[in-house]
Amino acid sequence: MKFGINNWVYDDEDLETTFARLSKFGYDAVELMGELGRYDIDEVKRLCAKYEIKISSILAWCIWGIPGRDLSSPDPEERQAAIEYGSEVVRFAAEVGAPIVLVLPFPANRTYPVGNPTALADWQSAAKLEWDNAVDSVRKAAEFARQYGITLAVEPINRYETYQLITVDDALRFVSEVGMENVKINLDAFHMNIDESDLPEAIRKAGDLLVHFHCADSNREAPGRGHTDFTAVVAALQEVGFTGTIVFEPVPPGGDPGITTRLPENFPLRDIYAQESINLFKRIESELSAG
Amino acid sequence: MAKFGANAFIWVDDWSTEKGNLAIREASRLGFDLLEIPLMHPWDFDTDAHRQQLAKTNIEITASVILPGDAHMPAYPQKAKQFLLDVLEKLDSVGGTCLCGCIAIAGGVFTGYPPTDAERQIIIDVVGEVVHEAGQRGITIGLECVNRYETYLLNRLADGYQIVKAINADNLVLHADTYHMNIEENNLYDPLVECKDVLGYIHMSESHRGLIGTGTVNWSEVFTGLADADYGGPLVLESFSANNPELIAAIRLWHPAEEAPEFLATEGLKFLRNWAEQVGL
Repeated sequence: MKFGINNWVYDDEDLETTFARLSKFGYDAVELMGELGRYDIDEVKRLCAKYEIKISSILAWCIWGIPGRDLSSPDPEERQAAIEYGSEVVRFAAEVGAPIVLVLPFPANRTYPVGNPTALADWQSAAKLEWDNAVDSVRKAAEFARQYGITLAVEPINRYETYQLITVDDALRFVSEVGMENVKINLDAFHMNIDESDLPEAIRKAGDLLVHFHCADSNREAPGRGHTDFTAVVAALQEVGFTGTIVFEPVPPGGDPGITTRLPENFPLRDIYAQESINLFKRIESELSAG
Repeated sequence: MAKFGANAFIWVDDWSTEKGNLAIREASRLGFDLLEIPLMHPWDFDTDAHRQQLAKTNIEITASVILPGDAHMPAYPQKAKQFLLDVLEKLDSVGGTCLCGCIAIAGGVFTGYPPTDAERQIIIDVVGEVVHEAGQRGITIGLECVNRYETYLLNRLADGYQIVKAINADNLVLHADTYHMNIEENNLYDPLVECKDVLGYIHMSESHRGLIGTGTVNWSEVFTGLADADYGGPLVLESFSANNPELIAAIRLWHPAEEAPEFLATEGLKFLRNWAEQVGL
């Protein structure tokens, strides 16, 4: 299996420090958060060559509150801006050799339809409209991505971060409605602990649509620090013939990663978590292959 | 034998005169020892109607709350205290024995910062005062820990333990909830055992808050932990079947349980009884 870490967990750390860390602990790849203004393409390519690290993927930064990132918005201008943002991320991915762009069809941290309707019927019709909008937007982004050979992977996130696309069942329905060959699925072990009843079963349901895998333990810390059964997770990934990259997103203890990743007293955990995460998975792999 | 309780949200999506009495009838009919009332709006609690209904049963009553948004204790200590005193009065009027839940925090209120010592001190002071008042009525207070998406204060049992120990009163206990523990704790056994001297109330709730036993909660760890903690409090089933948009939005229950309330209740009770018997609770 291939392993990476997403650089959002390092807040605004300079890229070379991140590459050096991942190289030191034997990683294959880094996933970059899709705030493209942070990166110089030549610099990224130089670091990839210097540290022999690939860019596995770009995580489109679809967070509620950032204008122009909401693919599901009832506002056509907002939606169009989000599709254009998606296209920029796709072009960037192609330039740095990343085959996958991760997409949140509904922006993280919005848990209600825009306008927050209170009457049930209004809520339901707004939710349906946003679902259809998201399907349409992702299809358009996928048509663009296809020209570059890029796959879009939609990611279910937990109930506290979105009100739609929470489970693998939701993702399967979404991907089927989009109906594009380059739209697939990313699952995330942290979110799955909250919203899937059975992690291995969810992985089997995604099957060959599963092209990427995000990983933190049940408490969002490094795998091994919570209670998720990663042996069962890795066995299920092997069972479905997973060939993508496992990208870790471990964050320090405490509720809000927006706070805890920025606290200097937590910086030593960056090395510790990077080392623990890959070591655990490599150990599981060798245990499974030894039978 | 442990007492088996049920939260009224299994049957109803809110507590009103009719819905409350329905929950009392159902909990009693299905064999629960205890009913937990979500007593979120004490101003319209119908004491007389519920006393009449309760007189027909032997069921014990407790109440749980979440502080209203404008009564987040660290920010509005006096409002929080007054709200809790109002709830205590109503709970006492129906002979209730325990007030638990989010008694120090409003759900979904964040400061953008980690918890501070000053915030903890306010909680220690104000909860301490409420515990004293509750003691006059013979009521126990339970301090619940909930997950990071509902509060920045009191996520892990260890956070609540610190507060409960600082107040140190006979009628104050720590209130655990397996749904929240599944998100916050490193495992489900150790914190129960580590907090054994103050643990007195627990919500038995599945990772998806639906039918217990069908999610990611490790029930073996929970029950062996409770047994090794010599837990003597009630086992309170918490499932949600209610299809009320306000409640759904409040607890982010976008995929409500498909099972009927009676099924959630009877299968849940059976599940709890089987496990309790196995571990000798």
